[in-house]
Amino acid sequence: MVRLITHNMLACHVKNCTKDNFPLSFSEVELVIRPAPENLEFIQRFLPKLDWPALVDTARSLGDESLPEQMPDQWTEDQLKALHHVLMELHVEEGNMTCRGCGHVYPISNGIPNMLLAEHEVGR
Amino acid sequence: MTSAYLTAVRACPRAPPTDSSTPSEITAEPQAGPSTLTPMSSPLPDSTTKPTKVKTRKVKIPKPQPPKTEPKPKPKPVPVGPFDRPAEEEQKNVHEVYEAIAGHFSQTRHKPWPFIQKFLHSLPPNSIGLDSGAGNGKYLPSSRDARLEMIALDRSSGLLEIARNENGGECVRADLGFNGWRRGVFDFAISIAAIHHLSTPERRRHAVKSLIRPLKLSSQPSYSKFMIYVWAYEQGTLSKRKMGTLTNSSPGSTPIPSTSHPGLTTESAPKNTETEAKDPVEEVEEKIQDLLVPWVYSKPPPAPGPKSPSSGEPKDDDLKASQTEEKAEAKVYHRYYHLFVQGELREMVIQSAEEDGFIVLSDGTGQDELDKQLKDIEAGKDQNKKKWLRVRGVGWEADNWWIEGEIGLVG
Repeated sequence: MVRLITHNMLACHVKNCTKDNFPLSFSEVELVIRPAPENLEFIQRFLPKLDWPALVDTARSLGDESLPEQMPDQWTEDQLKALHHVLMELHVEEGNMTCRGCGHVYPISNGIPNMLLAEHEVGR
Repeated sequence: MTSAYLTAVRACPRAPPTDSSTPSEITAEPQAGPSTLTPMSSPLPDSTTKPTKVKTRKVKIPKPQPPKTEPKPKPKPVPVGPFDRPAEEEQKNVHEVYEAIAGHFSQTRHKPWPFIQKFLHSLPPNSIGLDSGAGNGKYLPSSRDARLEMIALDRSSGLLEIARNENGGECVRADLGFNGWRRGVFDFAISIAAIHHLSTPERRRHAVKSLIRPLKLSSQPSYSKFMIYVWAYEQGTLSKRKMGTLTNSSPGSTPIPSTSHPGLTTESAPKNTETEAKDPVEEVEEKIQDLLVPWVYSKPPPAPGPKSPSSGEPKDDDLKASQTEEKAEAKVYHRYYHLFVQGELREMVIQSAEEDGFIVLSDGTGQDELDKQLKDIEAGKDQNKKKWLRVRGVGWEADNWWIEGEIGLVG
């Protein structure tokens, strides 16, 4: 269950990979929707941390078109609900996350992304 | 890197009394080892086990104590020298062990530790945070109770499966040195009983930096907070009693006197403890801080059962140890631990922060003293440095050292 909120926080961490290392691109995805308790206060609090363009692109790549291109200045409740759905209810159960910069592939299995690298790939 | 399994490990330092019956937990040597059991808490056993004096006339022949079937001698922690190849040795002596014992281990580590729960409840609701070295995700339910979002990071896929399936956690498989989080995304971070599985000071500091880097930097409250727990070298030597004031207070309420200037040598660290217990550790012999600590894994009898041992969950968990012990094939694994001496944890955090460009402020929890220090900095020449870190408290509890800190921005 890699949710999009988590995906929105994860970048490639391969040594010296600093360009286009975020966001990671999903592929061969098995997507599951699981209703989550709606907590719009949390969503609102998280807004300043969001990378909006990354979220919109990623959601669209998964077939969800509900988010506007531009991040709203004023949020309506419906918009927040749509955002809640995208961030908290879309779960990628299986698939890959690929770095657009260096091409490293982080596999997702049973909903758990494997971000481990070999020792020599790790930057410090 | 070692992840959280560790977490689990220590999961219930406090609870151990009840856990102590667990066959799996090996009592470490009181002096050297991190016992997961209660630290030599009481010298009482003698008095309680002695047959009481016979007052009646009846000639009661005091039953001779049944010759306790000598439990097989328990494996003891083994000192270990510096590793030539830390990453590989940790792989072998930490990661592979946790994968192998995940299920068994998790059974003994399901109680959240009250001290950590208190910390979580002190945070503003709707915060989002990271549990680095989360093991079986023991703190996920606590975080939900505190109305927090928390992501469980661990290196062990076996433990993460449990975190996910039993504790409903959002999990990421990575090691403690994971640097893939975007900066500023988390409001808090915890690392409970994990960093002590890293085998060099550099790797441990790297883990601290990796824990702090993704925290949000704000120039006004609320600031991002973190908490770290590690096994203490001082086990049994510091009795709970002596540490009473520490153990009874919540992290937030045990500020270090602001007079204790940060960055001093380890001796100055936990002032509180020093005054509480004077000369708690009179070192005579050489300190052995790096150990391989045994874990006895009792496999269920091989008979029926599709479960593979590596996936853990010995199904006979209901059987008493004594019963299983005979039949079960016990295997001993060793996990690497670095035991922290007094002051070392704080020193590690401060050094990590300084290496990462933080101004380290005087310890404390008050907003006024914080504001004053920040003003001084703004007025001073350190203006190129913008990030600050403050230790809010540090102490010893139930065989562990803990530290709570916060970070923010100047101006």
